[in-house]
Amino acid sequence: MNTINVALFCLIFIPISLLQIALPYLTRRTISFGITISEEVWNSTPVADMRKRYALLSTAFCLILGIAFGVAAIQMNGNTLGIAIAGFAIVLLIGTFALHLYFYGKMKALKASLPAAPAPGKTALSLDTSFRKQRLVMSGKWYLIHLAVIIACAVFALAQYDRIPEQIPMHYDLNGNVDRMEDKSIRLLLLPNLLQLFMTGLLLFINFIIYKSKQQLNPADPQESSRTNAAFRRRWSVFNFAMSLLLVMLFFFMQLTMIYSIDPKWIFPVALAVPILIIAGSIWLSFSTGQSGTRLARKSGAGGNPTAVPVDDDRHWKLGGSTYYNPNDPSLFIEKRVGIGWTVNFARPLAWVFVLAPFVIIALLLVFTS
Amino acid sequence: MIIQLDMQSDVPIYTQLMNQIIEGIAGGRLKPGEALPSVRHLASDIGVNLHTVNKAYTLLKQEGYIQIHRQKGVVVQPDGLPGLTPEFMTKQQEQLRPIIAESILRGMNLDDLLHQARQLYEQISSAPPGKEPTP
Repeated sequence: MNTINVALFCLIFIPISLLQIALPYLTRRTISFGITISEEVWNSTPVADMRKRYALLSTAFCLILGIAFGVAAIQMNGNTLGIAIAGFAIVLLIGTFALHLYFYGKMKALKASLPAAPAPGKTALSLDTSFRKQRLVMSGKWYLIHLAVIIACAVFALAQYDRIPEQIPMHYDLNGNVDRMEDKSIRLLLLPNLLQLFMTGLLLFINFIIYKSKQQLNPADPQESSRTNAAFRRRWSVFNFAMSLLLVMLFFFMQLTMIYSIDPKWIFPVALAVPILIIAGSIWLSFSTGQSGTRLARKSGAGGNPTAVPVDDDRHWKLGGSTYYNPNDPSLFIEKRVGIGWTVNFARPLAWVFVLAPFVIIALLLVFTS
Repeated sequence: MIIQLDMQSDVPIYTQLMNQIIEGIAGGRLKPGEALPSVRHLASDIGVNLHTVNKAYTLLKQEGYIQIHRQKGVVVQPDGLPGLTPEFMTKQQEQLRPIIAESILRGMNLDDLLHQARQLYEQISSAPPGKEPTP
């Protein structure tokens, strides 16, 4: 019981902490704590010191918080643990965000004290006209595999309908005992397939975002930046594909537990293995690739100009560089400047639709299942 | 080809975009028939209004440097560039006059001006490596 609590707790605690601590090291080399700078400044001592201090302070914070919650988690039962872990994650995120805001302010002050761009006011925006001719993402056609699997699962489940017991196990506690049963119905049986469809649709959409999002090259080395950014998108697209296939399999397993009385001791490891694989994969990808592919090896700095200052769009990034709001920018999807991944331009009404749509769909799913 | 724009310059974005694309074709970095990004993608990548990019593309099309197809999208003129038309000669003379006038005022002699023009000519036309600049 306690070992499972601690294992679950660590599974949430370690990845979030790692990513939060490493945040300033994973960003583009033209962004420091949400502030636009040149790559030369990124490498300078005061800025490198700020990264170190952030990492030290956030490590200390995460450790103290982690130990406190870890001690508390041992004494908890399964019901309160879920709430406690969620609460812990929120406190961790708020704390590290506050720390980030502190350094955001420091960085802003530091930038103001720096001399203006060394070249006479040259702020360059670089773009590669053949950027989208590179293979940026996996074709959406690959997701037909998922569709075929989902249909096969549904057909298989329906064919087995008559031999399913009248009561279907719906929920297991942390020890693997069934703690909720429901009367069998076709709707209940096909629920996993509905979830499969929802997850696949969502991840296919993310694949589309990865392709569409704005091209943002480092003007210090646009040629290499174009190559590494394409690799960054490709890697996440492949990961996205593998992750969605794993999730489809997980839901199929969930469906199997309804049809056959699978020994509960198998359920917990399988249900845990998939998220562990996904979390480990995304951490590995974040650290090896970096936001925008900045951590990928560059072939050479030939033609590069490290003092080139990227376009300063800081005023469009609100809340410490976390939220993009620019009515004059037609792009809908854009790379985050704090953290790994993509975000939307909140000045576009369509962006709000995309942000809210998953919640609406989840609400509909809940209505459907109740 | 890599396009470099100066977002703080007084020169409008659509003019910079046109100049860069024309220079890219002249230097051989953009090949005849090569596809250019769509208006939507280019506007999003630069972070400007669709009309800005549209204006640059329409003007480039009018001057015969690119073609805009409904299906194939925007491509560098594959059927040979327009050549030295009388209209172009007139336009070029108009554009050169103020540059020459300013050079005279700044005390630049004809040789220096011609030297400058020759250097720029070689810089732009010799962009593909291994090609000898014509003297």
